[in-house]
Amino acid sequence: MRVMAQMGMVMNLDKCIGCHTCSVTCKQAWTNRAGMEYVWFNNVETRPGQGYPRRYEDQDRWYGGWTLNRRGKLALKAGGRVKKLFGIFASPVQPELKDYYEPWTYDYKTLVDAPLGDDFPVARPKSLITGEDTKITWSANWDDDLGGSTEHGHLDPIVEKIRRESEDKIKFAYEQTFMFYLPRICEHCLNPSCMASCPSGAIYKRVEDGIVLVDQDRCRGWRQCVTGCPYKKIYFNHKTGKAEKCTFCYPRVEVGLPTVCSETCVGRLRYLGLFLYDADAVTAAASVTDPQDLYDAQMDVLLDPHDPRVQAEARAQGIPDDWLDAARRSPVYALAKVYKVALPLHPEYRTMPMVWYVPPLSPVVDLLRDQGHDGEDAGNLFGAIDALRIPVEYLAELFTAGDTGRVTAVLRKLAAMRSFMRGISMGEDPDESIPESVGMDGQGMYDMYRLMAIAKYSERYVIPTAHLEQAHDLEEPGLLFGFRRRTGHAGLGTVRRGERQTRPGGRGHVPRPAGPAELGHHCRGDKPAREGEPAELGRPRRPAGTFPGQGPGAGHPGRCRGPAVNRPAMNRRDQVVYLAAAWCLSYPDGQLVGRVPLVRAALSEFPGALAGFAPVLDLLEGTPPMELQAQYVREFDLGRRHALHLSYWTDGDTRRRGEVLGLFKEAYRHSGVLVDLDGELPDYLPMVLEFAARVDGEAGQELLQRYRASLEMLRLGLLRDNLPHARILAAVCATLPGKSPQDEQEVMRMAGYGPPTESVGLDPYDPRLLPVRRS
Amino acid sequence: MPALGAALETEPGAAVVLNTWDTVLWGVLPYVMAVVLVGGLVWRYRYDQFGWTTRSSQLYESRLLRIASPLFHFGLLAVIAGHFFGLVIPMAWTAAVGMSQEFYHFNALLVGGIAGVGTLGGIVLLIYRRRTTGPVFMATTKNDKTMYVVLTAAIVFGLWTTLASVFEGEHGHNYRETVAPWFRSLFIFQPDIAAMAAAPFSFHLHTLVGMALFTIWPFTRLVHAFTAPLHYLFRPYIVYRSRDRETKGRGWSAVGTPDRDTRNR
Repeated sequence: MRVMAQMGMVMNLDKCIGCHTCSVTCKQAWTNRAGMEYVWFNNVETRPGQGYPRRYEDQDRWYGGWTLNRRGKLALKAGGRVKKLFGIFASPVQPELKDYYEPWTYDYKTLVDAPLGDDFPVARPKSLITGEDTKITWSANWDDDLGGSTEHGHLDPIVEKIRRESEDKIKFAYEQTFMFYLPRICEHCLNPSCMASCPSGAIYKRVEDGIVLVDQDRCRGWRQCVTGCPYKKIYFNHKTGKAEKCTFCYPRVEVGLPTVCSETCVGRLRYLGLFLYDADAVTAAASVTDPQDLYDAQMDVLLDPHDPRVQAEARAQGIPDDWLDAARRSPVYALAKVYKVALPLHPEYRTMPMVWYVPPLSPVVDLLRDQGHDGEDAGNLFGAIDALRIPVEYLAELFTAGDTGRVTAVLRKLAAMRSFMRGISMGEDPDESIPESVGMDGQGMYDMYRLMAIAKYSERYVIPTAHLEQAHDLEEPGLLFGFRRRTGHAGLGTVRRGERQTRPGGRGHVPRPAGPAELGHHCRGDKPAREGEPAELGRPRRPAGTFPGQGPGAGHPGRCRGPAVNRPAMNRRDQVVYLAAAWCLSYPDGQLVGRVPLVRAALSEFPGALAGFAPVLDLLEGTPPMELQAQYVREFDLGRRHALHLSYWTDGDTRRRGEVLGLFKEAYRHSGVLVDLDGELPDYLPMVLEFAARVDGEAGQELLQRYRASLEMLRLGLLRDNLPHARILAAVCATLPGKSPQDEQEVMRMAGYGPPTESVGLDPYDPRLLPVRRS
Repeated sequence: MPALGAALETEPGAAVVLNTWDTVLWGVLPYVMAVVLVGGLVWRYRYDQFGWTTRSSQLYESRLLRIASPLFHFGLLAVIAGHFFGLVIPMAWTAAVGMSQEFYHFNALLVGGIAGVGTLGGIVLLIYRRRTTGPVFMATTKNDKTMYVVLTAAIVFGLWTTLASVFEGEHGHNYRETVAPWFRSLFIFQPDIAAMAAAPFSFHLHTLVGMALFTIWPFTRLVHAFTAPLHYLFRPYIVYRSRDRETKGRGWSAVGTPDRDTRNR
């Protein structure tokens, strides 16, 4: 067994609205260069549709990917080494520009330069290849939203295939009922056929993270990779004469940032994380005879990161501990192998693709609703999935080499999740029979719901950073601020005082973990924990994907932790209150619940302090975890009545918010520590409280006082809904100077403002647009 | 130049008085060419890996290229093989295995003629395609144009020497007694200038143009020939490589590179 790590992506197609933001931002980041005008490393296709380049899935024409030869061995579909060398002088099946499209721009200049005339000047389209006038006849998404599908919908190779097999069954009802978007990037395959096709050996797979790249220095422009890739995701730069491809934004991923397409995805449908796989088993897995068995074979190649044997082997192969930790928390592993709802694109190409898709369920739900049924009732949904044979067949051609059973199983899981969660949000008791009917349990289904529906930033993207000792030339900023993750040391905080100064030259310096002893003295109550379980000293964090079988170590480390030297004298009681409040207002994962006794003990050392917290602590201890988590998500994540973000109350979702959030960050930075926002906004109340308790009491208290009105509004909102957390807010407010107001009007008067409104752009006209008056 | 040839109508190998021109052309120039070729290739391999490519234009046009390019390249491979046979293998060897001069000559003319015509046909088609297909012509640099002139000239003059010997038949010039010994003598650094000087003008011309072609070779797109991917036959299909490996040079063309490069045309 040779364990290797692979960065992977999952896209939840149910959430894709086809806005092309991923494509545009990717283009701006990577392919806005000469020679790459026609290239989209990321493109979004409407299915059914021909795709980009046109009909790329028709491998009888393009000969991409692998096939089994007569002896049953894996061979390149376009031919072996000798055949390739003989065909090297003119690549036999390379797509031409017209198969992609001729890129163009517009002659915008005439709009302003045209002489005065009778007609409006027109910006004519100009070819970006020749510079001449051109006629636009096709583009990367010409058939967007089924545009023109009555003309060329039948040209979709999959439609063609399904029709060949059952002419009567499909007809045109097909187009009427079904459409979805398919965003595509390079699959970063485990068994890449582009790499195998490259005569120069310029394409390689990175040992560390499995990202497939083209060495621009070694590529000689033989173009065989373009033919070799069945997804047509390698492009020939016609200016430099080199092949280029999606890089999985490796410069970002190396510092823990998600790819540009993921970061900018409006629907938040992309997930990034690690797979562990057995590199020695790949070829055998890709060689199974029946294409419909390829999915299972691919599953078997992926290793269970919780398996101690796998971990030991991985360590022996030099995979660092923080990567193993990330692999355990990996959302893509969870979706692909644990919940088994993500499927690979075209497994029959035998490339073992590592970008996975959750097939779309929404069309089914919408159809049911349109027909007057209850679209989210489990019985109706299950029935409808079976009845809608055609879309399932189409999806099966895309994701399972035609195995409809597999797709149906995934869709049933998604449908079950909808019904199950609807029951919970309607206040009914969880109906365990629903998850059971798809082979899951309630907690598992809830966890899947949280990962797929709530989809927190830090849970969607679990990206271990490249190691300093390996990557000498990483940009320093990415390491200094914002996205520091644990490196396997239980006590390593993400807020470090003075790290900037202690980093020698910023290179290769591994920060010293903050030991428990340094942390322990902040809070007398945590003494028992200091001896027993040092890892528990930091504050709990939300799990980055609470998968079944995942240990308590899965949570990420504390946000604000570290040796807090030269902290101004601060009331110890206030400190304990802040920390306890921070914890009690955080997502109630197992780790947090385990700390309740500690919190209780610490608070009881101060007369009267415990009273305000007791109801919440009781709640934490006395409620089943799933119910607790569902309640937290309902009250604090989904609704706005008790938003935990301080500046939400003052600035709402207006343009001012960005600046205000910047001020929070500045306050953190000013205190000389690094704050791992971990996908949260910097004004998240638990973060501010923790900052005040652990890092800089004065600055923290100042922030709290500045947003006193928000605290009071939050308190009143919680009070109104009879939530016990209101008393915690009261306890926090009691540490601040001044008396708490009685009602919202009083808060408004106190703060001197009304509810937040947007004022930008609402003026009937901007005075700057008025004609200049000549004086 | 014709005067030069005429002045040297002597027996090959006999002691002749060589003028300075002969010494420069056949004694000095070949070594200058070799130094530029090897030095240029080393320099370019070290400093311009990113520019080392076929610069294929198949993306723009494929129909003509699919015929013309293999025709040209396979023809050229045959031509190179013919040159090897004619220049490197001494006449004595072929005679020793019982190959008559007539048989050798006939074969050389037939195979060489076909290969030469194929290569010439290929390059003519390629140049036609380059000139008439808009995007391909736009992607043609000054460097390319110079290279095409020299390359075509080398092929044309080479074909001329071959065809000339067809028409001259038995009385034609036997280059295996002049050019070939000179070529072999170059490698032992004792150039047989007299032998080469004795060859007719057409061979002189072809050799000179050929040397010009090799001189500019490292600086044109022709370099791709020196990285012909024969190692593909032996390497594993899947290539793993560590992130650590350093790369030199630019690697990417900078953002803001002009869309249509008009400087080098």
